[in-house]
Amino acid sequence: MESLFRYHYRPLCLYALHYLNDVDASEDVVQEAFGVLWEKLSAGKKIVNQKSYLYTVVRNRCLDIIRKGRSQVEISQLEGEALDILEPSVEDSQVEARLWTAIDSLPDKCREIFLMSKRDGYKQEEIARELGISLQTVKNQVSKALKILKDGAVKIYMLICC
Amino acid sequence: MSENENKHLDFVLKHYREGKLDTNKAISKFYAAHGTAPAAKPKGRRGWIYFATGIAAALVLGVMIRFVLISTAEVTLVAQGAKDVFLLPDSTRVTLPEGASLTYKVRGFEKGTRAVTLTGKGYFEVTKDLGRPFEVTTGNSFVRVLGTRFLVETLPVARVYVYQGKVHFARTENLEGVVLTEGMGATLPKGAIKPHLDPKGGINGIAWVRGTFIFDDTPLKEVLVTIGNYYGVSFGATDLKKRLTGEFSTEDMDLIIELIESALDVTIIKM
Repeated sequence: MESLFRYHYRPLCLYALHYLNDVDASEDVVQEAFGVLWEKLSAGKKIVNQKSYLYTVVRNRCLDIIRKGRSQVEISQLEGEALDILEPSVEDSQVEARLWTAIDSLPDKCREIFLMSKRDGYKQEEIARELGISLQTVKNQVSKALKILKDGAVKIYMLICC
Repeated sequence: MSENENKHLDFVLKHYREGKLDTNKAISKFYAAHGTAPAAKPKGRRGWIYFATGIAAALVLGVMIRFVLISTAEVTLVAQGAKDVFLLPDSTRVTLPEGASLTYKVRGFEKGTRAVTLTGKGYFEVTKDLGRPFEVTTGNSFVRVLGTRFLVETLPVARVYVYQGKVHFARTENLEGVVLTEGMGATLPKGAIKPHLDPKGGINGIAWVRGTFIFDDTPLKEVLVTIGNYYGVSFGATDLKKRLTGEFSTEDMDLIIELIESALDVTIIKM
């Protein structure tokens, strides 16, 4: 069970995140899915492909949550707007989990500057002023982060393709 | 970065929050909710206590039953985590991978021979007791020791590798066997009566117990075979003659490969 978590927890969370757009809700759904699998296995059921089982449970749970959320919206608003979510792919989620891990492992300062720049949309000059560092340092840190992330992503692509 | 990579990065960045999607936290939460202690991790403290309690209970039970019946009380230990560490009543430590199991008669551990039956694979650290040999019987082999560390595998064929001390390895209790000492291994192919010496396995045969691979000036070719066997994949690399020294956690295969690539300045591909 533990190795299943280690291999699939983050990718499953990112998979759920595509449906739910909420980190905490995604973690709950994935936790629930592992619970469902655990119950089945404890009851003596044989599940051959536990990975795809987990993805299927997560997907169904997410769709349930979305449907429930929508039923509270005015029906009129729903018309013409079917469940038109782009289905995320397992491979994409794995790549994204890898990126998440790579961001986690950036040096603290580098991550802070990178997130301010790319996630929070600060201008590089603003970051330099805010943190009291030179503009060149900001630029260096951002490109350093991008390089690390890119290397990480390329590696995983290679492993999946080959 | 390609457009696709940017798309992935944008998505991750949009949601990224520090400290979220923490796998270790998720595992703890899971175990808390489902009431199973993560045996052997971290350092197996909790699992040990549960197990020790179990053994204590089993022993008490064994003592009670003996007055009623000639005791035949049996204990079966089954590994449920990726690997579980069990402590037998004589303080022998047994590490079993998921699905392996070990059975013994409670009474055997009170006096006489310490005899256990193994299904699957197991790593033993036997407590020294010169007066009482420790015996492992599997469907296809028999091992007798006094106090030592050794690995017993049963699939595809019976195989024993000794890390410390001395081991007697045979098909059954009454057939002629071989004596193995530290650093020696032997296999017992189907149909053979006496085991053949076979040093394969070595220090990384118990990588799953230790949680690390250890390489000491090992040719890259051998390194990749060891890692490949562990994860069930095969690798190719640009320069197989280079040599590697170091200890690597078994947790993340991709990371090990990256580390080796940068340490040796080679490119490794999964085939």
